[in-house]
Formats: sequence, structure tokens, C-alpha cells
Amino acid sequence: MSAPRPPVLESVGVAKEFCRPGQAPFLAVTDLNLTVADVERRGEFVCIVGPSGCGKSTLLQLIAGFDTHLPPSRGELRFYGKPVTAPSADRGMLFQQYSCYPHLSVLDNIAFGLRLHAKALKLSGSEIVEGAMAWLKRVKLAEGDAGKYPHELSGGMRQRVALARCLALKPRCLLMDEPFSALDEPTRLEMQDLIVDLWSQIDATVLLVSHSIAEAVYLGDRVWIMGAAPGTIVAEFTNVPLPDPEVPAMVAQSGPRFAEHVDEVSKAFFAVLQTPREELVPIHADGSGMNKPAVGAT
Amino acid sequence: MRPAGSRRSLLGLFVRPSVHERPTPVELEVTQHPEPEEPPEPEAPAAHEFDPRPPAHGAAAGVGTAHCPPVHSRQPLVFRVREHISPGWRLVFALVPFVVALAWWLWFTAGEPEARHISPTVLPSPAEVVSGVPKLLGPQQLLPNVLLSLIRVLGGFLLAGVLAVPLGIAMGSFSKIGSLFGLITTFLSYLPIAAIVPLTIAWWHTGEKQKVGFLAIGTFAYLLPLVVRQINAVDHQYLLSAYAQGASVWQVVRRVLIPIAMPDIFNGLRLCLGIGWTYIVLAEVVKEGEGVGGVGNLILVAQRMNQMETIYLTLVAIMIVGAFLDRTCVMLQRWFFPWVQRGDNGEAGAPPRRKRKSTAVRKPLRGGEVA
Repeated sequence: MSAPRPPVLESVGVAKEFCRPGQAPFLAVTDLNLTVADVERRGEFVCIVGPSGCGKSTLLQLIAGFDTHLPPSRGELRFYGKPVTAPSADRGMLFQQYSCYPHLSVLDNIAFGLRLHAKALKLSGSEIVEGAMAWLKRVKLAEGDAGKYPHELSGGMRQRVALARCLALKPRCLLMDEPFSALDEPTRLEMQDLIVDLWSQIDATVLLVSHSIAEAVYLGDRVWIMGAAPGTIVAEFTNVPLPDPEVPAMVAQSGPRFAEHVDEVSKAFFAVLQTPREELVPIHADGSGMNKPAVGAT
Repeated sequence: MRPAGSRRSLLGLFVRPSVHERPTPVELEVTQHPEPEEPPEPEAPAAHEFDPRPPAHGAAAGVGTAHCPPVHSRQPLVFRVREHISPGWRLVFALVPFVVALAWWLWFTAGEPEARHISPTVLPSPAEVVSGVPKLLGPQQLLPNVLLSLIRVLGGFLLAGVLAVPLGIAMGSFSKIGSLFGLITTFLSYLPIAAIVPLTIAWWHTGEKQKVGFLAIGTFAYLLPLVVRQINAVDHQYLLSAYAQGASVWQVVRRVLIPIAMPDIFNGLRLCLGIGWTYIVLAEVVKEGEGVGGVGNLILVAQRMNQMETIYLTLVAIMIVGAFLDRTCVMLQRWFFPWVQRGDNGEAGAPPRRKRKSTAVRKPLRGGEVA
């Protein structure tokens, strides 16, 4: 082993309070103590579930470094050892909606990020088009779709375009805010297959916010459960079995073992829902909390 | 009754067999299929029998497919909400008011001028109006006047556009610039356009400068708030996506805000061109000398000479030219912005971003420090 690499993400006591003139200050997230290690040759896949309005998106936007959220009101947020001060191409972000620019064709959408950094990356126009075309194929879109506009595409195809646009910049961390929540079930499963497939190819850490426990358990190797606002992570499941890229999501999610794992996380989730906010203990605050060591250790 | 086996297999699709005790499968069964135990249809009606009851849900739906039950629409026969009608019928309906108006007009203006219900100085008969056409096209020079007015309108419109679009984009993009001019913009949109004609004459006398200046002011006052609103309407998530890819402020404005808002800004321009075209008459008040001519002048002269048919014909010509301008703009819009989704009738419809969902990020929250 070489020298230990700095963790991808490190959050020490981060809290974020929003102050709007004329309104009471709103504490969105608090006591976020987390570390996402840089696993050799592949990142970690962390899934975050929690009741709606618990600050999952706030957490992702803090990590993304949007200036509406920075700086954190308390604590420090570090990405590869450096404090997060601004958005960066290193951290791609995928949203649930409005993911494709309506005025750009599929190919131009994918090439958007590359064009932003064409000078820095020393890319010529034709190289950008080639790169975008390659990503178009990697997200399993047809070459014939390259010239289409987003409004001509289905929801699933739009998310593929958005994903390709994020990944074209080779981010070291991919932040996904309920990326499949607006999709119908078969499309969702298809997209999960695609994510599993792509994740085995790219060397990136993924943070995925989901409202589906099954999705979180299926995709993640770590699942965090957030409590109600002010949001904080109150339970963690590590070593969740990673999906096998060879097995389709639909098959993998119908087995009894999988159901067992979902069950375990669901129970913890319901327990969190039923616990009053004041009694929830953030994990890693002092090494205690509802920290579960592992799920379904094999 | 439905056989037990079939129910289990049906549920099997929804409820995964589980090893653990799951807390909800029984409730799930009940909530997903609220009426599994409902007494089944006593006997499915024979195919030839008419069943007055609405088709029942579940098992009965597939029975008797050979017989199509009559459609019980809640919509009345004649006026249906958002009914699809063919282009032919569309045209027929569009022509009805014209036919009715013409019939009314013919009836009211029939007979000798002295014996009519309405004096020809108020409403000339259709024949009298048509007889005025050669005079209007010939000595009164309708077409050159229309062209002259059109050039004035376009001049004012371009001047207003060149000023209002960049300023509006800057105001919509940067809150400080928006605040700087916001209050003035609000005041400006309540400016009574017609009332500034005397002012413009005082400033610029009656030449071309006055016409173009008047139209520029009028158009600007309408256009500026429209541009600001369209820039503000661009969903914040597009900006976040661009920021997340490391875009600079300038790149976000140039590559995201402006192009996404552009179809709607263009729509605003189209609206303002129409408004300018209807206001031109107000500016063309000079009867002779510098800055004479134009459709407004034509109407003014006809009024003095008591030629009602000329006034009516000129008004019709103004409306036709206006409609033509509008159609041209719509075509240009399709040409410039092929990504904009269109409604059923070919009008530029709402682009996809208008479909708001509650999950969308609206306005950026302002981050503050914990006290």
C-alpha cells in the first residue's frame, strides 16, 4: 500500500442554517460528521435515504459547493483534503428534473461540460464531438438520437443524456439527487442497470439521494439514513453487498436475500421515523449513535 | 368467487416472498386490492343483452368484448371542452362572424342614403366602401403609406429591442442591476403611451425622429419587463447544473440563461411589434410638411374630408398587415428555435421547463451565518 490517500469527502460537524429576511432562520442540516474513503480503483457508492424535507438535497448541494449553500454555518467540509469553496467539474451533479438544456441537442448537451473547459482540457471541436459521441454510446443511446432535442426524448433518455453530460468531464465524485424518482418502474430498473454498469467502468465515488430504500440497498455499498429536519445522519449500514453487473436489476431485486437486506434497512428507517427528533443521535458524533456495523455480512 | 389460487398468483407480482416477518404484507394486500372479496358479478350479461350499468372494474371488464358498450360521455354534444376539430371546421367557424357582420352591414345600409337606418357618414354601405378601393390604392397611395409606417415602426421597434433586450437580460441575471432599474421599470409600464405624443412633438418636432422616438419609448416600456420576467422564469436547476460543471458566471448567462429564455423573449418582441404597429397611428398626426404621410396621416386626412370608407379600408389594411407581421414572427420563431415544443394549433406552446413540479429548486436560498 502506498501512502494513505485523503478521503474523498470529509465533513466535520457541518451544519447549515438558512436565513431569509423576514423569516425565522431555518436549520436544514446539522452535526454532519462523515468520511467517505477513497477506495482503491473504485470509489464508494453511498446512498442516502430519509423522510422528505430532511435535508438530503441540502447535503448534496453543500458538497457540490453551490454558493447559495456555502459556507456551512458550522463545521468544515473537505473534498480530497481541501475545503469546498466553489462548485467544480470534479463533482458532477445529476438532478431529478430539468436535467437537459432544452435548447441543445442530445450531443450538444453531452458536450456542454467539455465545451466549458475546452481551453483548459486542450480539446478541439472535433475531439469534443468524438468524446460526446463516445459517452452517448456508453449510456446506451442510439447514434440517431444525437441530433434530437430533449423534448423529443422520454424521461429515461433525458436522464441518460444528463448522466453522460456529467460523466464526460470524468468527475471524481458524482452527486445524484433522486435521479430516477421521476421515472416509471421499468425505466428505473434500466437506469439502475446502467449506473451499475458505468460505475464499474469509471473511477468515481457516488453519493445518491433516493426515496426508495430498495434502490439505496441495491446500488449502494453504504446506506445512510437521515432523520427529520434539522437533518443529520442517524444510522449507517456498511458493507451492503454491491450489485453484480452481470445480473439485471429486476432479477437481483427479486431474490430473498435482497428482500432481507431491504427489510433490515426498512426497519431501521421506520424506527427513525417514529423516534422524536430530539432523541435522534447523529452517528460518529462521539463514536456512538445507531451505527450498525454491517448488513448481511457474507 | 375468484379462485384462491388466482389471487395468490396475482399478489405474487406485488408481494415478494420474504423470509423475515414483514410488517405490512397483509395491509398491502388490502390496500392494493380493496375489493378482492366483493361479491362477483352474479352472471356476466350475455353478449347481446344491453347492460345499463357502467362497465364494472376487475374481472367483468374483460367479459363480453364482442359487444362494445355505448360511451357515456359526461361532455355535452355541441360544446365539448378542448374538443379536437378539423382544420376545415376551424375555417368555417372562423368565417361565421364575417358572414354575420356582412349580412348585418348589407341589411342596415340597404337603400338610398337618405332612407337608411344609419347615415352613410357613419357607416357607408359595402358597395360604397368597395368603390373607395381604387381611390385608396391610387391617388391616396395606401401601399407607400403602409410601407412608410412600417419602416417607422420597425425603426422604433429595433431601437427599443437593442436597448431593452440587453438591459432586461442584465436585470434578470444580476439582482443588483435588477433592483437598480426595477422600480423605474414598474413606473414605466404604467406610462400612458398615447399621452406622450405631445411630449415627443415638443422634444423632436414632427419629423421622422419623433415617430421613431415615440414608438421606441412605447415599445421599450412594454418590452423591458417582459424580458426580465422571461430571464427570471428560467429554472434555477439549469443554472445549478451548469455551475456543477464548473461554469463561470459569464458562461452561465451566455450559454444557459440567454438561450433558454430566448424563445420567450422573442415572443415578447413579437408582441411588442404588434403593439407598435397599432400605435403608429397616434404618431402620424402631421398633415403636411416634415414627417407627413403614413397610415395615421391617411386616416386623419380622410376624417377631415369626411371619407368614411377610406377610414374603414385603412383600418382593415392596418389589421391585415398586423396579422401578416405576426404570422411572419411565428414562422421566424419556428426557424430560430426548433427546440420549442408547439401546441396543437401550431402556436408556440409552453417549453418543457414550464411544467413545474414542487421538487424543483425555485429561488436560491440566501445562506447566512449562525448567530
